[in-house]
Amino acid sequence: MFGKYFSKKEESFYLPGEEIKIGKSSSFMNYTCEKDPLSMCKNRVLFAVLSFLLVYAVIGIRLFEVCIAPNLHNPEHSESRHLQAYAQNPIKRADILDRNGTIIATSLPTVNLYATPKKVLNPKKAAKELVKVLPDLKYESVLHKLTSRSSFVYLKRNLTPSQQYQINYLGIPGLEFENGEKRVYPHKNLFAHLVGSTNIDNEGISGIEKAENERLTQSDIPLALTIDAGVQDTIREELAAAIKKFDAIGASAILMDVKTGEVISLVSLPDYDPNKPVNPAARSMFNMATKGVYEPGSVLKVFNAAMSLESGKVKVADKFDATQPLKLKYNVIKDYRGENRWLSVPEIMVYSSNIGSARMALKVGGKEQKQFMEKIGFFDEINFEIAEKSKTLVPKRWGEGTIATVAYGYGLAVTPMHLITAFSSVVNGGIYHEPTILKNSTKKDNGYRVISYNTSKQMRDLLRLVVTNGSGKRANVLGYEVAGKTGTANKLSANGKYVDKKVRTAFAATFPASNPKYALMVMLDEPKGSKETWGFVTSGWNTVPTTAKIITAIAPQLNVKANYDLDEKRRNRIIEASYKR
Amino acid sequence: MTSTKTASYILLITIPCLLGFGILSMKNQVQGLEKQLVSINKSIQDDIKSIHVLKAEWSHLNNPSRLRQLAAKHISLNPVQAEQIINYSALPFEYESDDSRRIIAQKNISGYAEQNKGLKKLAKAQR
Repeated sequence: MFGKYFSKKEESFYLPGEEIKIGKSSSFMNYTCEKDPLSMCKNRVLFAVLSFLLVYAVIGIRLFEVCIAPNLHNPEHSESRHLQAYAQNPIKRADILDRNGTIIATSLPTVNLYATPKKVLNPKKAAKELVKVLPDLKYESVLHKLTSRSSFVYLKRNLTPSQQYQINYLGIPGLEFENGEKRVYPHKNLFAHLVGSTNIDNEGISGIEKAENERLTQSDIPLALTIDAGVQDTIREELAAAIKKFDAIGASAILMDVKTGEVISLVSLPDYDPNKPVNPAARSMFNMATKGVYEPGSVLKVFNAAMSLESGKVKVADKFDATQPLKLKYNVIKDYRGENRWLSVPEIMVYSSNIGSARMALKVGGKEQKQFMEKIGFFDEINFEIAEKSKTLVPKRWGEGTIATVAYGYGLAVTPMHLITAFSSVVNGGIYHEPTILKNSTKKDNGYRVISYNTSKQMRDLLRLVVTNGSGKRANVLGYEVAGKTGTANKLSANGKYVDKKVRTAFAATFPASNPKYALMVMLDEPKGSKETWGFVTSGWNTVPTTAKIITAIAPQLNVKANYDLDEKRRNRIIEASYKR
Repeated sequence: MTSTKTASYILLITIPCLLGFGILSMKNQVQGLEKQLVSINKSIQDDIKSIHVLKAEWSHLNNPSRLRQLAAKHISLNPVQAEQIINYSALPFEYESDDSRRIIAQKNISGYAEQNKGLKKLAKAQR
């Protein structure tokens, strides 16, 4: 058929007896004595045999490589590991632990029930039987989902194993299970504001779950916090009792290690149970310790005194005129139950004199005051690892009135977290550490100096005086050398005026005073006077006794050694008892 | 046929057969081992899951308020007060067999004795 497409050689015509000319195109040209057909055949067979041998040799070398070579060169090889038994944790999100290894948040393996509506044969029967097994589903919504057009619809998430068994037992086609995780908080309310909660897709929505979401999803090594569960619980119990006793609307407490800035405990009441669905607007979701900005009141006098002593313009023995209210251009500064005489710096702290503090600040000057407040971090957001943080409110113009009011704690609004971090830096020898809640954080190496060592020592003595002689008398726990400063701030009402009876009381304490280890800041929101407190609502009547109870309870837990002299009667009794044996 | 030819034919047939049987049995063994491996891995996974759930339950049982309720119910002890804790070296005991401790205890007694006459008498009587 295709013959005509092939060019044919012209057949030459040979006359009889004519010489046959052999040209280059002759087919016999390629035949030589060496290359006869038989040897060519042999060569081809040899070639085939050699290629097969090559293939077998490659297989043999590969076999050697796979079976014997790994055990000769190195004991571990990636391929040999592949064949070992491997242990892979199916849980994707990392646990959160406290500093002693107690599990605060963990994910449990659950199954989600989903349906492929196309495969469901009898939606009505399936919906009816499902509602029997899962009573919290509604028949109409299940039926609607099973008759919808989509190819994938979740029926219920996070089933228990018994529910899974029952649904399997029903034998309805089209229903399938998918592996899921459910975040569980075994301690319920205790770490609610710190750890936060997650939504249905296991994404963090508040607290550490939100701030460290990446870290928690990337590796399944548990995240260790510096929080101590036992101390947290003790503090929470005491705060709850204090709220009940003084009829307050809220309370918060922060316990911090002064040397490293680690937060040992952070409680804000009211709180919520992160295992249950949360209402984001509820008051219990508000973290008063890190998100609420408040005017600190007299607690700021600590920083006022530190600033004055550090600047060198005020010495400890200096006296200031607190005989009359201080009249400035726009306001008059009065003392609460004032002494009406000249006060030295320790007396200003002990009697918590507004006039004295204002005079100290005016002597130092607004520029230095502003610089100092910036140095101890009152102007910025605190660099803390939970998601709820707040910017502070600072006055824009720093005139004479502002200098005076900031000196005794009004006009500037900061969070309790700011206060306790700055307080720690004042009492620990003068180094400011950023607060941290992660155990292996490197923040403690990045401290910077805010006041000198001597000023810090003087401040510790002043604060100890407040507790022995001043408004903090009820916090003078035997053996733990508590030092601190009280603060009572009037609350601003909605129309911008200070309401007299509504206060926010605080007490910033550190113990033991001669070598501070921990700083505790307790704050009560709107405590009410009662018969026991003679109707007074100042800090010395409510926050200070609460702090005393807290320190008595947690100091042994924190391994702070009690240090006091035996009194004589007890000493004699012990000696007698020893000699009677 | 020559004997070498028959020998080579016999060898040519038996050796591949033997090799074939050997390979087949090895393959079966490997398959059996792989099945074991899969079942072991599955049981490891199940164990890991249940350990995880048990850890969560342990943490739940360690809830401090629950422990406090149990302690109040079963243990009749109160929280420790600061006054109940004291440094060992502050005690004026003289029963120490260890020399260094006795010196410390003696120092304590002699130190306190400076403040308290009653203790001086005891220290004298004891010497």
